[in-house]
Amino acid sequence: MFAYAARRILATIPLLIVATLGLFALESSVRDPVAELRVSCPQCDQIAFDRLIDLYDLDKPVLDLSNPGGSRYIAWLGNVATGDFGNSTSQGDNPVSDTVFTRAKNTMILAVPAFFVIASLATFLGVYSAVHQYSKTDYTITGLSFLGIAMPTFFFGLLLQVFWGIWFHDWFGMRPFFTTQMHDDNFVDLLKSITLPIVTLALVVVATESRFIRASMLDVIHSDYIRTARAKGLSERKVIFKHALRNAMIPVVTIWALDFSALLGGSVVTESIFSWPGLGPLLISSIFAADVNMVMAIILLISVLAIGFNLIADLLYGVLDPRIRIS
Amino acid sequence: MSDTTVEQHQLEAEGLSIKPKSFGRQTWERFRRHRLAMISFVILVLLISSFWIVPILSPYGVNEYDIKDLSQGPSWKHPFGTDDIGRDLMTRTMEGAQVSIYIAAVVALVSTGIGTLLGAFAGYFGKWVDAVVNQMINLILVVPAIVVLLVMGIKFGGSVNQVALLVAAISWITIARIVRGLFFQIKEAEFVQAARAAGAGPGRIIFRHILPNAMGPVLVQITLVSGAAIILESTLSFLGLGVTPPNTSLGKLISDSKGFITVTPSRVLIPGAILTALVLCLNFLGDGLRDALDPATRKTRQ
Amino acid sequence: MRTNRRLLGLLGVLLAFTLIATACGDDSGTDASPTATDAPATTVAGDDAPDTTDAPATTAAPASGGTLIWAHEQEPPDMALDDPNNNLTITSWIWRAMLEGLYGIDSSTSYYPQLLDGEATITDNGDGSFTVTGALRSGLVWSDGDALDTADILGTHAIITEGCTAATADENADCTDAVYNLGDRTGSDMITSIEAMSDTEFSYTLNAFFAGWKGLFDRLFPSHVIGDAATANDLFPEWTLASGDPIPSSGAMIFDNWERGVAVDLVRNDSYNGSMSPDAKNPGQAFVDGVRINFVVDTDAQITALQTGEAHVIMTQPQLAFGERLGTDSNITLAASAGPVFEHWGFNLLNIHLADPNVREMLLFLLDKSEVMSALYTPLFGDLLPAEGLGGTYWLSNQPAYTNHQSDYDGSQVDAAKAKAEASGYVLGDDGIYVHPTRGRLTLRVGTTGGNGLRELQQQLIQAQMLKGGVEIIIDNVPGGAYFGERPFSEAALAASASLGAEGDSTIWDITQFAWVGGPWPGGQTAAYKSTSGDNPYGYQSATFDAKADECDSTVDEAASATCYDELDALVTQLQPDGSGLVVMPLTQKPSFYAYNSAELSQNGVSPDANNSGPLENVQDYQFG
Repeated sequence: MFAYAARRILATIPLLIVATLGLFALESSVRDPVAELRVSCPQCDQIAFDRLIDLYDLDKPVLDLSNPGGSRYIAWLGNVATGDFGNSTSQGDNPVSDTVFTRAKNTMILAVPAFFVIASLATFLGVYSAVHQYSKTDYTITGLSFLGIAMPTFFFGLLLQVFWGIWFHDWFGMRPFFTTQMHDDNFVDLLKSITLPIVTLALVVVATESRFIRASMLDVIHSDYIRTARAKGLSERKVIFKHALRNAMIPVVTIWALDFSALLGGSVVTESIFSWPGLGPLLISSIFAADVNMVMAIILLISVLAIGFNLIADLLYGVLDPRIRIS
Repeated sequence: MSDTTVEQHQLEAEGLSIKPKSFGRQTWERFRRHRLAMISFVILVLLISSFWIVPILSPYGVNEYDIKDLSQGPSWKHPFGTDDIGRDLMTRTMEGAQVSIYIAAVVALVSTGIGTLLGAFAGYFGKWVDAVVNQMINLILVVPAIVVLLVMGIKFGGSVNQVALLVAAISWITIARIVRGLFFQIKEAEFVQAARAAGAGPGRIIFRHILPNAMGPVLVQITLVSGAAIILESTLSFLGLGVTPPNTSLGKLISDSKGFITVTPSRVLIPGAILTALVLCLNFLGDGLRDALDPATRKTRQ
Repeated sequence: MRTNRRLLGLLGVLLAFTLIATACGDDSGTDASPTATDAPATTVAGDDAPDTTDAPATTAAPASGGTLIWAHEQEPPDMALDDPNNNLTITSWIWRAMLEGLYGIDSSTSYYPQLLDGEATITDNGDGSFTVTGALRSGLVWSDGDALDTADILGTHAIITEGCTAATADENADCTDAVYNLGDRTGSDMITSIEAMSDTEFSYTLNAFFAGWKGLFDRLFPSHVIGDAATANDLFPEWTLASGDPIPSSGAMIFDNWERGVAVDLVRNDSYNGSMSPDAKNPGQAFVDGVRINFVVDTDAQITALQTGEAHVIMTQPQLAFGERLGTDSNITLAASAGPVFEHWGFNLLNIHLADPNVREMLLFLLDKSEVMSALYTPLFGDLLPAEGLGGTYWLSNQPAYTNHQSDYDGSQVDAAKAKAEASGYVLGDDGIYVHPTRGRLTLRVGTTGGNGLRELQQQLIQAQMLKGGVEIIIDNVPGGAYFGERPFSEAALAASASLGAEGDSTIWDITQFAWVGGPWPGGQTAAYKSTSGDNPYGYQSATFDAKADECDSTVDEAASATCYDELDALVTQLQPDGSGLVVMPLTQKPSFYAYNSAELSQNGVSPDANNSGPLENVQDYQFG
């Protein structure tokens, strides 16, 4: 199993190199600092331009195979290999790893509770739907799931924000939720500020997960061993919860792992709407500011999370389902 | 593969079928029974045709402005209201919806084309072809789609076609994976072996024998990919990387007017509702198609 | 079943992991709390903060205290003004609350003596050089108690020009350290000598007349803690001394804390010397305990924050929705002023159509600036700006020397425009667009950095106006910040401009739209049209302009200088007899837009923002109650 994991990880390294090279080159050409200075400061002189060229390493090509040492990408890759992700150009001249770490922590404040809300809600809805297949509740849950998938996240978040921020901001004489930023002075404030972003994050994921859990559950309910269990005269409750649910959840673990890694990577849209100081808004602002080191560090973090959780999911699947053996 | 007989039995048992019917006819009949999908299909046709008919009937041009009628709410004169420079929002919304539909169509076309071809080759030839395609898929899976979209959006975004191609560039993977899997299965089928024995070349086998059998799931994916494309485009617009003015799209209409939500909510809610309805119908349609094309999913898998 | 136990085990591991994760998350919360409690800045006035709630609660007398919350979309990259790409505006806005200079700029865009004791004088030495003599107010102190005296002027000069004075600029090319404060070296490098006669009296000598001399030393740095440029470059980004204390302030606020991605906190400077600004309502120390600048990335969310009381003041890129939303809220007061920023279209004279003065005039005839004003600006800003739009660039409409150079083209004059086109041989095509037998279809691209809603609406409106006269405008915006680097200021385009089309590529762009910042001394922009400038993308070269610009820059008499700049302006905003000129089409001044919560603030420090100075220019005036 370790050999398998090691092989999987090694196989992703070339992929990561190609992907980061492409994104590095694109991101480096997103803006031209010297041209922008020419626009905003016609009286600025060459000294000022030289300073920018120096700051952004503009005199070096992104990748020059004849002179790898003078290439920005190779230099970056070399530094990353030694654990140095470089300094930011848009967040002070600080190591990007510090900033990314702080922001990742903030994102986690949303992601972890969001994951629990999503996992439990989706399981409940999915199982309920499956057990009561073709009932009115099943149709309602299915319909709402489809609606959740069809509604763009930003549209839903915007509605939530306006609903609670403006129309109901003074509910029973108190403000039920914060609509911008992270308020972490005390637990109640924190709860008030994470609620709306979590609901926004949860919408699409709960919708897709509950659909998946319903399908998985139906699969199991209609299987031979459940029929056998029923035939043995086990109570319906026992059949559903002891036999069906546990087996139906095995494939769901994969989905959970992937969704959790996605949540930990930060949400560009949700965090932006609620001005949450997480990875998402940092990624956007860094992309627009051509802060290459920052963008690459975030991308690497998200990629590693995705790859790691993907691997964990596959390994777990093998552990949970004895029929599948990973070799 | 041997499902046909089972399925025939089931249909007979339900008293629905006595004489054998063509696959297409069977599918259509099953699809018609899926009431929700049928309703969605009708709504979709009505919605999309209205996007093209309303602007023709409208007395206002898309870019025709009237500064005496700025930022109005809905009225008889302007059923959807007017925008910041006094353009009729009904006409503009329809125009924006056209763009959204156009983008969805281009994405569906391009990603189905690329996805099917690459998936087919990978699945049929296996070996290094499969390895190359697989790595291409993994390359896009390694970095999250939204990041790729954002970085590429700044560099290559702007016009309607560019935005469509951007979205297509990350949408083909799902189709490629599905087609690849199907090809792996079907290429071992007896009828394919028979064709090969009869001396058919790879091209003929891929396009005449296997592909038609793989079209069902691809068709389902097309509806889902179109829906996802509409959402992705709107997200790009929200992040400021959508189509450039004076073009507009449903997503751009929402994000342009989101500031007005407390003043004239209709400016946000109307395009939002149309967008949601479109995607909802496309997804229901896909769901119905899936059931119709593959009755086994509704029953116990053996 | 073994599977079940495995599943339970897995859930256990997941649970444990997430618990640890949550604990880490909580850690960050508690980490932040101590800083939050010792900085009164983090408490929300009117919320549940014990030390400040009494202010809004008791209505007896205008109370001091409370923390002013300003929601803003841009977080500064750092506190050093060294990189123009990272939205310097916000950094300089924060500086306004912390550092003062010899002269300040008031709401009528004129200089007033801030740290000076009365006006400084400039005298002609007769040999081409000029000497400025002045005196500081007596008893000035920095927030750490140290005296603010002439040593700080000398120190500031040393930091700005280190190794790059007029005398040494030629031989010493490496001035990298000294230019940390971009733009500010202009003029400073003309100083040949500077001396302090006493703690308050000083004089400096310029090697030639510098029209913007009052703008020199617009911020003094505390030389007792920052001795040289290297130290400044080192300490400014985090605004913190090696000891961990903030850099001392001369302004009403002191830097306190910066939680990246969340907020910058400032606290009141209790030894503030007081504001001399004619706009200031409070001559002494600030009423509020501190200011918290909250970074709210989405501008619509800022409006929401203001309406819900999560912010007290915002100053942001105005969008039409703001006026409608906030105008109806009785708790919110909107304030706007004619800012120093103006929008304009610049023409590429190397374009085959735009090279023809008739076409340039045609565009001006078709453009209806007043329609742009009444559609996009009046609903938000009222009649703050002249209804006919902006007709000059060096002087803006609220400055005394302003003249509208483009009044001949007021309104939409379709017939006049068509006559111009036809005079140049254009024929109206079947689709309503003019076509020239040799130049082809009259299609022009106009571009800018994408994403600014108001500007995009403006482009669309003008596009529709131009269409009426048979000109097709294609909007060619580039999202993100890449537009200028890819189009008008790309190397190929600049090369084409410098060589008048002989080299490079003159077809990269046709019309560019952007904003410039004016000021009391508008000398900066002249460089953009000079033929020797490397930053002139227009393909415009005029010996007359070059000579006139030099003349204006060296005119001592203020009235004469103002007239001179006005004449200089006409060279580029009006068509000249030789067919040159009309390179730029000014559109409008961009108003500054503030909104503040007047239910909580009894007095605001929002003054007309004539110098792009931000909401903290008169921070001492804000008062809750």
